[in-house]
Amino acid sequence: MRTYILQVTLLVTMLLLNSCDGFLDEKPSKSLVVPTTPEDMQALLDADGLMNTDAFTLFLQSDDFELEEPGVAQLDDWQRNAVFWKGEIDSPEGVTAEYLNIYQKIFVSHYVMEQVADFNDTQSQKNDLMGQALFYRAYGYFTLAQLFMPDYRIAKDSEEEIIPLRSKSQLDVEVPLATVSELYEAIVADLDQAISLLPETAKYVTRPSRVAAYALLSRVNMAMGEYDKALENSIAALAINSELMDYNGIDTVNTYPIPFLNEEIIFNGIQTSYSFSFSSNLLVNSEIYESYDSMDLRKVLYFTVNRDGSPNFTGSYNGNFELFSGIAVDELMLTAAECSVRAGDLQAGMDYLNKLLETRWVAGYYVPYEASTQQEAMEIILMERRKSLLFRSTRWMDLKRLSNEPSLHKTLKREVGSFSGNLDLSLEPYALKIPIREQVLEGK
Amino acid sequence: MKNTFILIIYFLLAWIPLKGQTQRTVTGKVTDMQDKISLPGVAIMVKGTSIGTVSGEDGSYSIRLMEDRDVLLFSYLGYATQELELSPGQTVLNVELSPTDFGLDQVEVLATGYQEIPRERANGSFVGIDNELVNRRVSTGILDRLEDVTPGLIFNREGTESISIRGRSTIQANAEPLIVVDNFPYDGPIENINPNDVESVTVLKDAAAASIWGARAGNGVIVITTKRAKAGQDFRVSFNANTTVIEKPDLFYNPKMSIPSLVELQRELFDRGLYNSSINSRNQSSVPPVVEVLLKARNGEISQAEADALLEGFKSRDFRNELDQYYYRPAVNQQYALNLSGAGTVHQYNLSLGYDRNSSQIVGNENSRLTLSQNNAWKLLDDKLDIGAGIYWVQGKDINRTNLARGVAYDRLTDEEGNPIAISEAYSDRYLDRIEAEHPDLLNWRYVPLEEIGLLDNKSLSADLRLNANLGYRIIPDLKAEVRYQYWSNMTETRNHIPQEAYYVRDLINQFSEYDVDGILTRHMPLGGILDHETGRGESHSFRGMLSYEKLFTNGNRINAIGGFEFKNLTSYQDEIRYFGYDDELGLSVAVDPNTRYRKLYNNSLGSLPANQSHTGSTDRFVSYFANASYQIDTRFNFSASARKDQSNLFGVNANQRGVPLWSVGAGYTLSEEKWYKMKALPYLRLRMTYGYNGNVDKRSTAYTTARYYISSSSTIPNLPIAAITSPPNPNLGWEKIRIANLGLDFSSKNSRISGTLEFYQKNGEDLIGDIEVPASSGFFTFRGNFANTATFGYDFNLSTLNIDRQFQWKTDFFWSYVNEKVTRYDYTFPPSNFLNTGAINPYEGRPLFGVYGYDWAGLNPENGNPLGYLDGVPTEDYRGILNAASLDNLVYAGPGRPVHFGSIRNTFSWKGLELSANISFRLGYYYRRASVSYRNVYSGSFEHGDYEKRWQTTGDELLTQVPSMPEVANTFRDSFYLGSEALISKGDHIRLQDMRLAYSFREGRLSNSLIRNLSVYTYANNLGIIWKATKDELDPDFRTSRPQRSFAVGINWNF
Repeated sequence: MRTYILQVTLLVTMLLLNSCDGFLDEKPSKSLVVPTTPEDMQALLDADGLMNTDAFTLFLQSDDFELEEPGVAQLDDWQRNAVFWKGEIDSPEGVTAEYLNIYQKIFVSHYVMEQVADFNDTQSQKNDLMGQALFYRAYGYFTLAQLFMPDYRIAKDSEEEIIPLRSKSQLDVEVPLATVSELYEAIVADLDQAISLLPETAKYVTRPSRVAAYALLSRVNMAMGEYDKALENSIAALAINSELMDYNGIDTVNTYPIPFLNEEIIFNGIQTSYSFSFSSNLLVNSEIYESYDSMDLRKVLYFTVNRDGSPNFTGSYNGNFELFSGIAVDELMLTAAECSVRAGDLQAGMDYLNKLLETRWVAGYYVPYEASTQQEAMEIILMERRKSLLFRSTRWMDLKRLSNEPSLHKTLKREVGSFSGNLDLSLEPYALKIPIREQVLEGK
Repeated sequence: MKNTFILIIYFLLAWIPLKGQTQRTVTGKVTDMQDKISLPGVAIMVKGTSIGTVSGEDGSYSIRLMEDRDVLLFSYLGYATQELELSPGQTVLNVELSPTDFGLDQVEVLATGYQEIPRERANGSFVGIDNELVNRRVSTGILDRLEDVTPGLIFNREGTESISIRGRSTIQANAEPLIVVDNFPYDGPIENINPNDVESVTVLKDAAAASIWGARAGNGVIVITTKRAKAGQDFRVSFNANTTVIEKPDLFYNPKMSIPSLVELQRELFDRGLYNSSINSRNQSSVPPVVEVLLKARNGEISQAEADALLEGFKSRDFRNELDQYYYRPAVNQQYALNLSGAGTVHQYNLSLGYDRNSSQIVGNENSRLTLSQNNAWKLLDDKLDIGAGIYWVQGKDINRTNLARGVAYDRLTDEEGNPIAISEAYSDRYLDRIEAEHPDLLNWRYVPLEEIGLLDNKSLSADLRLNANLGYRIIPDLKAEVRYQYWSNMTETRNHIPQEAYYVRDLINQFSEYDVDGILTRHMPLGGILDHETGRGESHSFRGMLSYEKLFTNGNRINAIGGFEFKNLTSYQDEIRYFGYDDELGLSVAVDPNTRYRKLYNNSLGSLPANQSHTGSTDRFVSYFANASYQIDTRFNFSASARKDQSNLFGVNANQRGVPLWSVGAGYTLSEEKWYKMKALPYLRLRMTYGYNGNVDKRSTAYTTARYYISSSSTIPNLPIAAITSPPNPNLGWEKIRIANLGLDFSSKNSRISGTLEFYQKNGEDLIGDIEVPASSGFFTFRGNFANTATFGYDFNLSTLNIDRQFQWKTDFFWSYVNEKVTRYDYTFPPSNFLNTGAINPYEGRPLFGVYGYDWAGLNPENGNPLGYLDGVPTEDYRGILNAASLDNLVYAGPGRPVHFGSIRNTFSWKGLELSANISFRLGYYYRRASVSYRNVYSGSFEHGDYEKRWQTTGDELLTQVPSMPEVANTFRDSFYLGSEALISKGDHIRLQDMRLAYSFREGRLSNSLIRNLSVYTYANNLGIIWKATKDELDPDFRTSRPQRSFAVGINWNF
């Protein structure tokens, strides 16, 4: 009897111990995963709150807007430093959430690349995911380059190592700092590769596609002052999608009239929102506001006028108070127009421009532009570029690249109450400093 | 189905009549001669042999005799050894032992959840809370009963964990003690345990006591044992009922600026243009009533004189009075408990029924709890087999009908005639007036708080079931095999019905109303109420198999060992869904499109209907092996050791990192048993030492990169599954270990007039999981890993004295605990600004986890009332400079943020049937930061702290106040400096009269009614107030946002 009980106990114990391996393999939470499958990768890349959200700092440094004292009061210290070009955006936490988000995007890109590298799935899905990850990495580094590096043409020969350039997701690795030329080289290489891997268009405009990669590359080319390549890539993108909305068909009843996810969008991006970014204290640059013709539908659709006559911007391509920062067909048309003129083809340039503007005016009222000199054509195109791409986060890039050309260069100046700042980008290489927290923790 | 089966089996088992059979074995029971309580652990030897046994937890024993032997020896510490001769054929021998004059007056049995150990054989650190002490307080919950009576255990007022046992031994992992109910960790909400069902509580504090619980014991263990029938007792019924009244909250406790100050301030800010952006806001935001009035005056709608009169009117109102009048009431808690128990030779049973009904301090809200428990135990086959089965059922109900009104400090709830009026909530009255005129077909868009009272129908129901079964078989007299099983399930259902009449629903319907060019209304959200339905279920199976061996040798030595394994599977899920257009009468709801983004009526932004839909689920699995052995050499020495290995389904961890082995060793030495021991004053003296490891696990940390899936209707592409990274990989992740050494001394004077325990301990947390900062270029701000060590030194001292022992009796119970915890390693130093958040964990080497720090304070500038700090040793107003230059070298460290010394002194006086006891508690050696006025908030027009009224206004005020002047413009750096300065740090030390209890019991015989064995009536008053505090601050150092409410209870306890 005794031995029998002992044996049974022993047997039960053995059985239990044997089943333990599987028993402890169960995952502790339903929604928690170690992402490994193609579906997991796509879900990580589809997290638009992170992947398609861009830094508001790009916009804050531009001259698209004006503000008065209540607006200044609404800004955080780091935002105020950006608005008045103080050269740093260190926040009380050490770095802004925006800065962290860019690198989080890059972390996700690296993680996806590393996982996808081991896939032996169908070639297209593997290529698609790899292409998307390369696109996002390039997008992230390009934002950093615009914020923390001087203009490419001024600084491309500089040996100064500026931006932490990671190449894998692992945390505890030595991170080299990239010079201006190294970083831009990496961005262009990623986009070239993405173009070869991505499908022509994507199911959703929040996902990178070949057309989006061409479009982004043309933007990067513009920032580098490589206008011939910018032309080539914008044409390649327009060959895939050149559809324009007719602004005459847009209902003006709505405060934010531009349709959400409209057909002009090639890649959807949203600027990070703050209380200031959708406040009535964020006023439109009055000089630009005054420059629209009364028959120009952009004036009707893009702005709402406060009781005191000051204009607010309500023409976001997100159809909402969130500001758009993605890439749309209108930007490509303007890029193609400018680059054609720069290449000496005035007619082609004017054609791109007129084709675009025809859809922006009250039907029948648009008189096509004509230009007799390159200088005149450039002035027209750049003014229309400002009027179309207002509040899109591209102005800072334009300010930087145009500072190389004395005839197009503009000095910046702001004065509100006790706060003031001015910046002449042509005089010295200007960029924000990498936050002190980062310099300390990177050990550089 | 499975559960039903278990239930049927259970009930079948419960009532099968079984009878024991007698053999050539002597059985009996050992009890105390004086108070007849059973004595467990009594050594019973057959004289002249090595055969022996030990009495069980109910004092019963059973021993096999050889025919020629007939003398039994009964020995027990603190009692005179008895030698008894058996008459021929005698098989039952009940024995009463008489305490020796130096013994402990009562034998305390400590439950670890695995075994029960008599106090004098325990080497570890235990606190036993007996039934009398459990019942001293009147409360709905069981944990409240431990407060101020448990050495080393403190209820925290700062930080996330509610209870700490001997300090906090972790940084990021779970910091709550493990709660064990009837041998198994309890998975349900602790509120479900009815204190009336609890027999006793044991708190396990050191490695030896707790290491049997291994990786979950790092924060200490609270072992709760529910009531059982005592062996040999007759049928008993007891009934307990009480009612507690808790006073209304004091809405004026928190100091605030005066209402006239607020009105004047808002007027000033209006003149400065602060409200212009809100007035013009496209969100049609509401602005304070003062601003609406001034705006009307500015627009010429009313005259300036009318405006001034209205503002004067505002000054005489106070919203807090309105809330007090219409929303608050004293809460009433009613408690009823009935208990039936009885025991025969074979079968013991206990049945309890409890009902609690608590009305909340807010009108219309209440909760109730019904508990039903039953347990049975059988001893069969000559006591070789024991079977136990128990069922515990709890049904909880929480009803919410009213949400507190939201309003500005001078808002009113009624007009002059007492009719309910609207308060401007999200939107301005200007907008509502306009839109109502423009679109009369909209629903009423006004918020009238008084009409919302009792309107909600929010019911939460929970059902908690616990089934226990155990089977033990004594294979040979010394060896027993035991299996235990527990099934637990908890179901919750919340139905939150918000009818269309409620502002919340009307507002949403209006927001999603759209008018086309012809003015035709489309409602994207259907008319009708909203029903939020949430269901959840948790379920666990726990199984334990254990062998225990106990042998008593003739030389008086004893070996005692247990070993076994257990495993557990705990799963839970929760689902939530929202129905729109719900009609409660007909039970109808309308399907909606949660994906489309609609234009919101008031600001034209895009938004989708707020559909709440979520699902969560979790699975926790544990497999553990344990062993525990002790060896006692006569009555002097006791050595013990234990080991345990825990494994869990830690996520993303290599299989070999899933487990952690933990162990402990201990020794006890009863000096007073030595022949050379001659101290007459202290006839009992015992020294004990333990050393070992407990563990802790942080299930959120992982070795691989993990992500969590979401579906959101607010994504750009609605309802596309997205995943977000939750944690970066940490391949080196390990478990937390807590090394504890404990040295204890137990003593007792003659007749136990004075007895007590002194314990010193050292607790070292090793490889604790903490966050360090990493460069943001990694994609992360912080990184979690094993980066910290802590060291805690402390002592617990408790002393019980019987000061007067005549007809009038005076007893004093006192304890004093000291906890000094320090961080000894942290692989990163956080920025100084982090250290100014009190209540947050601030790890820094050499300092406690919770420290209070402040900027060095140089007083107020007599010229302008600006606060002064130091920069390079020179007083300055350069606040930005001070903040930037702050470092841990120049911040003032005031001291720990949690009490270093705490304890209580409880005096009990009794005379005849009357008993009065009062508990005075104290907390010493800690600091806190007072709240004060933030001028940034003042400049945004909010109802700020009362220090605003004490601010510097003219030269000379700096001698009377430390509150800076109001600056010309808001300056966040100046605010941050002042609010973080040393000037606002106060000493928290205080002594309070926690509670008093007065009871009168009618003793047996005093009442002629034979039905009544014992009847007592009692009153209990709690949170009586502070006797002394170190600070001049008028607020209670421990309760700075709301005062602990006084309560008064009356009850009756009837045994028959």
